[in-house]
Amino acid sequence: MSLLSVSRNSVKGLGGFKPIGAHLTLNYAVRLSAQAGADAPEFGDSSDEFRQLVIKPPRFVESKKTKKAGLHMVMSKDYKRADKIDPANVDWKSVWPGPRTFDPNSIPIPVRQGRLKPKARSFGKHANMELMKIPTFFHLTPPAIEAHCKELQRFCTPFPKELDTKAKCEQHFPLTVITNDYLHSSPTIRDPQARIVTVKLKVKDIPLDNHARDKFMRLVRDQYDEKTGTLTIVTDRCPLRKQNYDYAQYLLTALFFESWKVETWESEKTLEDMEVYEWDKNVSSKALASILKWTPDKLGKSVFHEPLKSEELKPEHLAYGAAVKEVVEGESKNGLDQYKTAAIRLLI
Amino acid sequence: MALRILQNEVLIHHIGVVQRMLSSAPRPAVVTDTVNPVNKEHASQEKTKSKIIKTFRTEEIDPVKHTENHLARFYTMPEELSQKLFRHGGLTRKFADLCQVFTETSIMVRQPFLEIKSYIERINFSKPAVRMVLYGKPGHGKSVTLSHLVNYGHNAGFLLVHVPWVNTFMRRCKDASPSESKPGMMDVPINAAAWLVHFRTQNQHLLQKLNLMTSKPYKYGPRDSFEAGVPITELIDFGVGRAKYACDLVEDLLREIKAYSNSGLFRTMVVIDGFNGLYAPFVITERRKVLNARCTLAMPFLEMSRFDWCNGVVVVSVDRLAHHDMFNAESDLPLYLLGKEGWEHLDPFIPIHVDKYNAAELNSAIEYYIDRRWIQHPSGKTKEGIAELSALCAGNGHDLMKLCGPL
Repeated sequence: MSLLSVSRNSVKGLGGFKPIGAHLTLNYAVRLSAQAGADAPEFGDSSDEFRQLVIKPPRFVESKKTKKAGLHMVMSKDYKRADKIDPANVDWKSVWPGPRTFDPNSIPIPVRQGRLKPKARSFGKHANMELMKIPTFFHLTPPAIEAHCKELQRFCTPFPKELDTKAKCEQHFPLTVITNDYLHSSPTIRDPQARIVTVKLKVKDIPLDNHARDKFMRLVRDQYDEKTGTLTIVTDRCPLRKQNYDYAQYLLTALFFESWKVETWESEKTLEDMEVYEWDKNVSSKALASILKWTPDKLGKSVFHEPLKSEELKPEHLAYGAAVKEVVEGESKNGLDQYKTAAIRLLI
Repeated sequence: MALRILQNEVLIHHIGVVQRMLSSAPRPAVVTDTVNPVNKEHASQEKTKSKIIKTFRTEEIDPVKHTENHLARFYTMPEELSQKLFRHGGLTRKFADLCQVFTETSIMVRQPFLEIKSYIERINFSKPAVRMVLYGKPGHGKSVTLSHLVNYGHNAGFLLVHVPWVNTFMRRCKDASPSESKPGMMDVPINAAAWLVHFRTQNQHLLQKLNLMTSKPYKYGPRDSFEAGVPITELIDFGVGRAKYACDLVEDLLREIKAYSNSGLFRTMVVIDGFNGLYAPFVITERRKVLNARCTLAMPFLEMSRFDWCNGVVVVSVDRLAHHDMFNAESDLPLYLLGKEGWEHLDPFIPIHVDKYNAAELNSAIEYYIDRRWIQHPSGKTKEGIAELSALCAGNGHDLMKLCGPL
């Protein structure tokens, strides 16, 4: 307060100077007053001592070096507590009962983390920020987990003995419903992710014929995993888990009945629209039938007969059909070689 | 300048070859080891290597008797037979030129031919006609294999229905006019008449011997009609003379042949080179291109390649060069070249792959060229020269022929 007032006064007093000079003078005045403030009693005191005007004050010399903070300032007083812990006999889950930040005083092992220079030794556990940043799992030691489970066992029922293999589980319980529960130590016990319901199902467990299966696959699209043959439906559009679960059930039901429906326009599908080559519906099978049934009196009549019935088909006919399918679906030299072998068996 | 000198040299060289051949007494059709010192020298050189044949010629001139023993060897057709079979086409143009320069028609016995031959020998001819399709890259020898097969068919007593190259009438026809009998299609009268001449020349011995008669009356114009029971040769002569009706006549003729063949009077071999060209949706003459019109002459050949008759065998080749969009063709495989329509027309057939020359065949071909002095340059006859030629042509017979041209 006093400092400000002095500077003002001196500026007023030196008002007649040119501006540059004024600036200079201001600096001097401030310095002067600072010195005066430090040494002398406060301005305005009725002190008798005559104050000196120092025209050119001596250079400011750093009087005291800032003292390096001692270890006692950054560490708690019991920083040697960890040395007293005997790791063999301590009940660890009571020392570290839950997730918390790394505490060097509770960990009785030498941990090091971080490095300033490439070849320098990494820092010790005390006052180490790097160790405090990373999550620790000291509360999840095997004995701790075991104790947890032991406590939880009281609330569980035994797993049925009959379901001893995975195949049996899948057979009796084809539908898998997956939900997640969340527990937080926060004011609310709700978690928005708890509403999500995942339903998994092997498609082979759903009774479908060829047509229905084809339609089913078109409806589910990328929700079907070809490798495992599993359909996965994830519902999360409703606010409650119960609602989402019901919606998943509804989807499954709708998919099933929709796949079995045959619309009137589906009969208009021609051979060109087929996704896969079906030999027994194509000209190739008819040509084979007509060749097998042809007699010399039918000159000029290569009218294609109906394909052979399934009981008339011999293995070589089926092999031929498979070869034709392979060639038509992607012509290659290997496919043609197969086709050739099959054709020779038929024709010669 | 340098190019001109080179061309000049090549010309002089070719003239020299022809003159030498004309002046000296005609070479015997079959040259054996003893009379051919060059060949003998080579044989002795290559005795050290294993698996390389010693001679490149075979004395067996009858394709019916060709077996695995004759593989990779050249046989020489008798001159009059070659004239009879291939006078009006049947050898590719370059190969025919080469045969003229060499004054002999020699064809190498190769695996695809033997394969077809073995199938034909095993076919039950009372069953519907078996179709075979040759496929492979251009220049690998499909057409020459078919020429060999035509010779086989002739010697084995088949009636030949041979189309040397489909695109002579589909894409390079002399003239095209709208058909009267089949509206919306194009007639190629001159090419149809030319084909009739080809057919008559190839089958003259059989036509004389069998003395076939027409089975029903034909009427082509107000004054041009035939009663039933007219010799078929007369019908052909009429078609050759009145080209206007030749396309319709080819159809009737082939229908007659199919019926006779079906009755068991004789066996017929249908050989069509560049079969996929028949599916072109246009006709190109020397002057114009007729879009969206199919050629009437294609129809009887398509009809002949069906399976609704017996005592016949159909061997066709599919070629990238015969494809209607040949510059954009991407594959040499039959389904691609034939398209859906063609595939369904021929299916089931026996696909036969004509591969590139193997080592023995390549060696044999180069030796043949050296023997015929098609390779005259001294370094072309050395081991290194031969190795270089083999590497450059990569087993492609047509490329080898072109490479050896300037040597």
